[in-house]
Amino acid sequence: MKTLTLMLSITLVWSFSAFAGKKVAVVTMLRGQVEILTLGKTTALKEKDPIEDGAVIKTSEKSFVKLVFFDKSQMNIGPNSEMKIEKFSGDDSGVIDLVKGKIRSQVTKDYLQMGKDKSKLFIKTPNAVMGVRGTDFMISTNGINTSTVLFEGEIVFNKLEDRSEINTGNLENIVSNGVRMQPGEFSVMDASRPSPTEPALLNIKQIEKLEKNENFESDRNPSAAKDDTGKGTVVPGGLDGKAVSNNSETINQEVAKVAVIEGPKSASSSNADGFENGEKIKPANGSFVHIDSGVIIPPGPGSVLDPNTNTYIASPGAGSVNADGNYVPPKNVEITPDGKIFAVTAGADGKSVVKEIAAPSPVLARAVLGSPQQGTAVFSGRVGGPQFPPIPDANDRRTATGGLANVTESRQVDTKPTTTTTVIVTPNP
Amino acid sequence: MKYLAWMLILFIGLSAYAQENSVEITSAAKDSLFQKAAKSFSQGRYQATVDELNELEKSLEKSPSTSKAQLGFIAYWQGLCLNRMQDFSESIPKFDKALQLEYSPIDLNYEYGQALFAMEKLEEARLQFKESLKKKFKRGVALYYIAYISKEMGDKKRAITFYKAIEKLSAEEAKEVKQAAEMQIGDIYLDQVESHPDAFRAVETYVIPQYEKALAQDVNSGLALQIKEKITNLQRKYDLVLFKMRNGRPTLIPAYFLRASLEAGVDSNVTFSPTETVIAKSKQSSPYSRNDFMGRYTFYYKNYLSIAPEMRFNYTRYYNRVPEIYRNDNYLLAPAVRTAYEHHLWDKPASVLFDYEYADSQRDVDAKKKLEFSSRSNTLMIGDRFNYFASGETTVRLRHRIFDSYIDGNDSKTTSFVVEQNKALKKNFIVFYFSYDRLRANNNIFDTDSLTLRGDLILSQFRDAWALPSIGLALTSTDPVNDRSSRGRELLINPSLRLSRMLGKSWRANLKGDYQQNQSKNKDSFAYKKTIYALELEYLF
Repeated sequence: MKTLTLMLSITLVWSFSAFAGKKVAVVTMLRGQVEILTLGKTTALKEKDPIEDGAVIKTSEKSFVKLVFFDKSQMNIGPNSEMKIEKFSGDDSGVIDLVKGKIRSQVTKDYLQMGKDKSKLFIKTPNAVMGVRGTDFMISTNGINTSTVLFEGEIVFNKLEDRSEINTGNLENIVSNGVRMQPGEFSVMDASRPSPTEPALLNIKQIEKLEKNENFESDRNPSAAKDDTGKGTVVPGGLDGKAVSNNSETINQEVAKVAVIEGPKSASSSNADGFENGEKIKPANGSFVHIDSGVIIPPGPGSVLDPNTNTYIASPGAGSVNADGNYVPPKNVEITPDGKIFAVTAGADGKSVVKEIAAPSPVLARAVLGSPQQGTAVFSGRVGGPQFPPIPDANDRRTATGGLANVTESRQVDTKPTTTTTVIVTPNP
Repeated sequence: MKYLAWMLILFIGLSAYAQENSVEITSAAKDSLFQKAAKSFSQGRYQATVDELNELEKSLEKSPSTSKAQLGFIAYWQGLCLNRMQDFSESIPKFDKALQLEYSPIDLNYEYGQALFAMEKLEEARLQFKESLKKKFKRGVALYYIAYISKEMGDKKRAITFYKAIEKLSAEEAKEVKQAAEMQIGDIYLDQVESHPDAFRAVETYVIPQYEKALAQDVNSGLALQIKEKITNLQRKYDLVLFKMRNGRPTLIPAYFLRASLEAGVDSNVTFSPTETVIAKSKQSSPYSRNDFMGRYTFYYKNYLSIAPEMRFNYTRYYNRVPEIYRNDNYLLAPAVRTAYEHHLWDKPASVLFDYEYADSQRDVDAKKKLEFSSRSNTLMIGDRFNYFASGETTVRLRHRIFDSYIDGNDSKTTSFVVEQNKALKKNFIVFYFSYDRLRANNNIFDTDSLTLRGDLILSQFRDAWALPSIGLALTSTDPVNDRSSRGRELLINPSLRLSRMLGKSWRANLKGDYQQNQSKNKDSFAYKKTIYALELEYLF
């Protein structure tokens, strides 16, 4: 019945738009406060409201809106977001401008019946542009950096110098020179870098949970999110994750007795390790992404390579994800939406203080991007740079009860400049 | 009768209930569910795999034809997925269930052991790794786990036994763990000897050699860095190697310095060797090559004196083979001994310097295409390097050189006063050099007094750029004391530019440009201009 009502609403809206023109989408679900700015007038948005081409939609905290476009593409706009529909005319690729916040979108495969290598929709952010070639993805920006995760289909992603660009031919040229992402991969466009990170497979837990979180449940209701950090590692001291990993040969043989096993992952992420090659940076497969800020957290020393997925399983010190796929740093670390990292450390007087971890130097980033084993040496302080410090007053992080919330001292911020906000940070060794 | 009727109703009801709860899952449905789980598994969607296998397990449990092996397989598969998600508290009961159902593929005990290890159930984990060892699955790593757990549980003797057992495995089986095992043995040795009053002897005799044995397995591995650090820390802690002099200046590690270089360039106006007191210009350009080798080793006596013998050799050849040019072909052999006595000045580190240099030069002095004695010199220097300015070190030297030329009239003695000042800027670095040189020759007409001022700016701000640039400018004003009327006061202007780029760990390429203009009243014999461009390739050992 619900589906029937929805279909009827959409049909009515399109019928209406045939007369009024430029109606491109309809609101099918809405939570909290959502405003629409159209023709210079701001009004509160309600379910079943039509959305015109050129409209600006703003969501408040803990709010969310789901739009269905005339081609049946869905777009879920998360809390604290602002998005403008610049163009969605029907005879050309659409252009969306995400000013801040995040979008989860499922674009229909047959939209405009375009060629395989042509983008069906462009989503611009303050520093990046994404060409959507179908179908299920998430994009997020804090107004400075942009991170994107692909669940299904293919997207192309690149830096955007001129945000006012609206010509789809020019946008196509820009994205076609960017990175091409496959399902399960993520990429981050750091405002201070010339190009986005090479696609890497996201942490297996994060991708699975993010994929389920279509409606930004935990962003609207953080208490519902379960923090499942704090487990032990399988890697004994002295070894690296590759040495102890099981090559999956046995399980594959056993599974093959009852089912057909699909082939390996895409070639672009075939190198599980991270690397830096000129201007190209590829994080290690299995890295986490702090979606709000674009901070990349490598799997870290003590992570184990899962040959089945060709990703590293993050070490406990690297943090974890909550029930809805958002990255949860270790208990003594906090990452703000603008990419600043604060950590509780032991002060000279033995009391806990909160310090900002300075953005890493290029040297550190280079080392971090190496294999987790290479990282081990770097993270232990030989090279220097920021790292997640050990939790104060606790020998064992698994039993530590300290956290940012328990610290009453004022924040002490390192005087080192933190010009790079999207950073690859090091987990606690 | 009534009782019979009730019995009948109860029987029918129970039969219906039993039928309802023993619904046989069809083969097609089972295959489909397995396929769905296999797809999720291959995509790395482990939670989905676990959920789908849970559904399948429920259906199979209701089916009387389900075998223990099928349920065991599902439990094992789920356990493996949960391990991949690091949900060890969930995976442990799954592995346990698989074992109870007598389903035990070759890697089950290994995976089970890892889950128990992560949950710090060490004794149980050790048992599982022993089972894995029996199954010959990842024997090297299983032995390592057993040894590591034994050490964690305080049984160091057993730990060493198992670590050493790794050595007996084939190279293939041991390769992932051998270096780490050797390091762990070193750690255990250290634990045992550290509390002993004579610890440093045991550290030197047993612990460090054990770490060195570990290091030798693979000097380029990630673990090698940790091992090197362990060795260095022990050397520091037990004063096995001198790291700092008494005033805090670091010692050189390694103590040797070796450099070889090959330079190829073009000199637009080849002049005589700069060791001559007469400048004669060829007014011709020539390509040239120069091979240079330099080595030094620094010995430390206690923590206050260093003595560094040094040897330098270079050979230069010009390729424009006309007599005016090839007579400049030469080689130079220059041994030296440099000493430094460490002390404090103004409460900061300082060094008294005392150096002796000898140089022997052979040149084709008569243009016979044969290198012959050209000159030799003995130089003594005494000075001090100290920290007076916060921005960098200052060196003051007094130098005396006795020069013996193949032309007796050119023999000379030079006394110099030299000051060098380093200055660190915000991003860059400057070296200033000042010298006053008083040269007195056998033939008085070549006596000179000269002042040199030189500055070199190293643009460290471009350290991460393609090449590191540095620029320099030297000005030398020379007063020909007894020949002022013909030469006047001369001025040598010498700007230079250098771009350096490291090529890998040991190679460095330098692109050099150097311009010299000597202004003199005697334009025929002393005034000249020249430009030198060169590419130098250095290897630093």
